[in-house]
Amino acid sequence: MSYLLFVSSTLPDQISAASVLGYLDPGAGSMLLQVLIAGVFSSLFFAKSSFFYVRDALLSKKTKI
Amino acid sequence: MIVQRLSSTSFRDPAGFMFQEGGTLFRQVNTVYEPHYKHFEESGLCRELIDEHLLVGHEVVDAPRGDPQTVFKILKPERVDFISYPYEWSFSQYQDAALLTLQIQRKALARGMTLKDGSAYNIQFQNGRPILIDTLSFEIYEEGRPWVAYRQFCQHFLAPLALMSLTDHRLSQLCRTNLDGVPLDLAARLLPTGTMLRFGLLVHLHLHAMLQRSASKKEESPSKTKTKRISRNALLGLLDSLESAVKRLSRKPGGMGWADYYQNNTYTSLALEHKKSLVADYLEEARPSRVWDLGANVGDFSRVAAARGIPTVSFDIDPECVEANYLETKRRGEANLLPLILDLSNPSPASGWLGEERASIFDRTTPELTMALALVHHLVFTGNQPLENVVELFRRISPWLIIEFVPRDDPQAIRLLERLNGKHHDYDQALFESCFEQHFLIRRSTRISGSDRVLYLMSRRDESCPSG
Repeated sequence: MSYLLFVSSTLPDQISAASVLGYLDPGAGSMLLQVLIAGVFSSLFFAKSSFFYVRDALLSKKTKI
Repeated sequence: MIVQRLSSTSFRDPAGFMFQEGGTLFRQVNTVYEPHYKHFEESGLCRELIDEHLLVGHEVVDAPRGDPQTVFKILKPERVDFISYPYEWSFSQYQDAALLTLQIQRKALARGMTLKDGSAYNIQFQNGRPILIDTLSFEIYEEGRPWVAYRQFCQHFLAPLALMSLTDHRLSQLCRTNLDGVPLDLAARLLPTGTMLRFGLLVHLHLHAMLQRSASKKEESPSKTKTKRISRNALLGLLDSLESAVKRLSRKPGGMGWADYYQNNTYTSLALEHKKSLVADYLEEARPSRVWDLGANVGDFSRVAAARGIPTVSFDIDPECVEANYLETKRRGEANLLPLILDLSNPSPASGWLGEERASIFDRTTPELTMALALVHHLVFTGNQPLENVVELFRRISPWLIIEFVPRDDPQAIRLLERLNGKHHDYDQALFESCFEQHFLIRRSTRISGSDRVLYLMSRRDESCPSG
């Protein structure tokens, strides 16, 4: 938690909040959170995709047998 | 032709705006949005979303309309039968709207686009299912850019759903006073501490609120702004995480006890069937194009109208009833029925910019016929409304009325009266008829078999109703 607080106080300037047609305030904290936690989301997505890939491969193998 | 720009409801997005011409609704796409709109069409996203009934359909209109200085294209969107707002939805309606938004964002990313807003007001219910109504909600996805609508999605969807599910279902009404969704710091404070143990809620609500607070204290210097990247996989993981968080939330029981009304009351099946057949007869006589059923409970009688192909909005004060009604609508795949929450003693008001951004319930599409079955005695006994006020309500809504009179000695009325010690406004059948006859013509009145209740068909005197 203290790590996040530390990073939050140093990072916001580095994040572009501007949308192409940016009428919506994306919120500096919201953009920051996505960047901070990107690694976790990315790993979860990779793990999930791998799981489904392996499961589908195994199922199709079984079906062929 | 009179062109009326709907500036109070369609003013935020520079990509375009809505306007009316000759009573028809149009959407102007501005030149500034041209590259995004072209990508939206050429990538196949537009076609895919419309074909799958996830986005409201439209046709491109050639005639020169709108603002010639800024116009790129004019669209004529399909009309949505009835505009509803999140604070009128039951839990499952809200949850389905949230999941639709995430589904659309995932499809957009697959076609190189992203949702630039995540507003719950962009979702409406049409043909029994949620649908996105803002065709200009998309922009070209820039590889590496975080999701700009993430904050709005959490405020408009995740926070209210978490509060309804884990704190109190009545907290959906926070959306009524917070038009840009529930502030995350407020949601985090109202949620039980134990919700920090759920990964999705910990990240998207609690940490999110904390970082918002922290970031708002720090002064930002635009000149220093640089781009920080987030991979596409991370963005897809974020969507997965939001979807799991939304799906894991379940409806918190706690209605007002009306959802099992027809199982636990004194209606005999004979009386119910007779009442349904009378409603069908009266509908046949009035032939309305739209119906509102006020105090609809779980929608048994709304279905009599909806089954005849009449677009019917089925209102009830009890969120449990609306939830049961919506789930049944989904189960049956009913296209003409829209269940919504409405407290007649405090109906959805006009709100937002100039008080016109969100219309009051009575300033939206009003019906040709209103049904008020077993409702008036509640308004008089529990709502403390004199019969004259009740008549005024119905006079304002629609030219036709199917209304039930429940006598004081009916078991349901006795139950309400027991709590009042005789303190209520005058109420009997003669007064009921005389009050209504001031503004309505009583066309039919029939006693419901197996009870002393009477079902009326009335038409407003100042309207030229067809003779039926």
